[in-house]
Amino acid sequence: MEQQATPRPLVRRSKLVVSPLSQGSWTAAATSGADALVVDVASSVPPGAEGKALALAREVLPLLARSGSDLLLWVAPSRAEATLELCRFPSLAGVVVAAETPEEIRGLDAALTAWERTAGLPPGKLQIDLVLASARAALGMDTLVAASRRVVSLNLDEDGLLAELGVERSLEVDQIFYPRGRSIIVARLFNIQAHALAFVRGTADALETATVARKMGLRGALCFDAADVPALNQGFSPPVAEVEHARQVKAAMEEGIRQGLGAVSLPGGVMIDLAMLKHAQAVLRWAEAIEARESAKAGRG
Amino acid sequence: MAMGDMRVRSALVVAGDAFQQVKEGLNWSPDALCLDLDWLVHPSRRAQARDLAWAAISATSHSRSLAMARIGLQEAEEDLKAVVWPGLAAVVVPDLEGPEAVRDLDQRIAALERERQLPAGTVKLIPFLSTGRGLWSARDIATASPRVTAIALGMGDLLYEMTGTHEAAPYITGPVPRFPVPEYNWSRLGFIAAAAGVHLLGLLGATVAPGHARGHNLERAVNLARQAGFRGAFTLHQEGVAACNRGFAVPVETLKAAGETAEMAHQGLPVHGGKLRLARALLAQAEAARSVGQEGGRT
Repeated sequence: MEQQATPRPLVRRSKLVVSPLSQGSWTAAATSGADALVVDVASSVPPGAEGKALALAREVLPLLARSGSDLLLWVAPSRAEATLELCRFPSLAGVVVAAETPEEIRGLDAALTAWERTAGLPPGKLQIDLVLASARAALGMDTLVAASRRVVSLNLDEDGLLAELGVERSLEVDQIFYPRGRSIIVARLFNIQAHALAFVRGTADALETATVARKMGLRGALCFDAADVPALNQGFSPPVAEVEHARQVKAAMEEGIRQGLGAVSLPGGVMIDLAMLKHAQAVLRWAEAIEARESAKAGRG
Repeated sequence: MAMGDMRVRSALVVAGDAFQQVKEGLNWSPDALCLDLDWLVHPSRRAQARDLAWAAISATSHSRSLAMARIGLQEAEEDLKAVVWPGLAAVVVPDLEGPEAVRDLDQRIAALERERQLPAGTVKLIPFLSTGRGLWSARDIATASPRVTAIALGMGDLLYEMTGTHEAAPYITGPVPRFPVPEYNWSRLGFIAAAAGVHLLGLLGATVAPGHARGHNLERAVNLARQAGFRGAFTLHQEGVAACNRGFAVPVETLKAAGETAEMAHQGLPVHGGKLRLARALLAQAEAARSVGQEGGRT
């Protein structure tokens, strides 16, 4: 069926942010099992420590490259070109950036294009994981994504967004209801992924919030503690029973289609139709992509 | 007193034709006293309310409270003439549905400022979003004029929406439909206000008769509203003023944690940018509150 023609989805359920300045956290990051490791040479770097962070980034990147995780570099939009020049590493999958304007994204795109050219990389290989960390970015996220075809995911920086509201994180009120919901819709619009955790009243448990997030259509999240990685990987993966059900739906519907039917019944009498086949195919594609990602990590780690 | 960077935690709404309410209300120490010429005044007494406005604004401006006036959009010209006097900090306008109306009000206020020799831009604007169209256009409204210093969500009542209890006087029969997804509105307006650099205000205890409000319910609503991004609320009650003044402050424990985060950064340790910005925003809020004599934190 059409499944073969659809490209395998990106699997970045857990994106662990690693500060090159925190050398004690390097080993834990490398063995965390994160789908992506984000070396942060921008967001968490104190003023004046940029040079040191870049120097240490060049040390930590080869170490992290052995993990089999996607390697990303968190860059500041205003210094992207210089950072890439100083920190180029052949295994990088792309960059993470907190941008506010389409111009910033276009500038970053140009810097990545230049880098691909000099490094002999295929055009368009380097990706952008876009972080929404301000109200302006949250409200204009569609224009940001439209600014470059390299953008593969929209990520909510909850603390950054809460800073804009001027209020600490709540377990009672869903403060980022709007940008989260909007990011899911915008992601669909541009055929990319939305990455964030869900709001679950009364808890900040990583597994629970990731599990609910997956059901909302989110596909991963940034994290800052290696201990959260297993929960994110699990929460953003479909449970075995859901995958099995999807296989049954797919098999039953394919048989139904062969017989010229648009709707059939599963054993037990549950009626399924073409819309459910589409959903089942999506679940199976996601499960297969995760399996491939896990194999890649096991092979490299 | 001019608004400047003043945070308005509580804005006590009083009927414009009842000067006694102004005098009484000022004793409750609201951050602002909002003289209402519109909803709380019978049409037959509107002219009287306009005549009293100057005295009420003058009295308020000589207190520790800011003077605000809520006018009617349909009668904006006459209402503005009655309230734009020295001492008026802001005009609160319900039913605004687009940026054109904001710009029109801006020009009318500017003309009155010139005519009455008030410094240009002194009188601020607070759109009170009370229709679906107004909510939809909130971002355009918030950015339509530099006079806009806050936007207020005038639909529903924080007391009942926030606490999830049944409303004492449900208003579902009027021309304004209740939105079934308040969290969407709170969150959206919070980010719109933040992007525009203005405050988000709510409406507290509007459907509770004076004397019947339960303090702890009001406080719970304020606590939740603050977490949702509201910085203050309009209220009609003494208990509402007290709840807002206490509740729209950064909790002491939160400030302590924010201080620790800021200190880590100060020591040159890596702290995620968003977390550091949040800590600094909370500390700045508390500092701003202290600088104007407001409570700096609550337990």
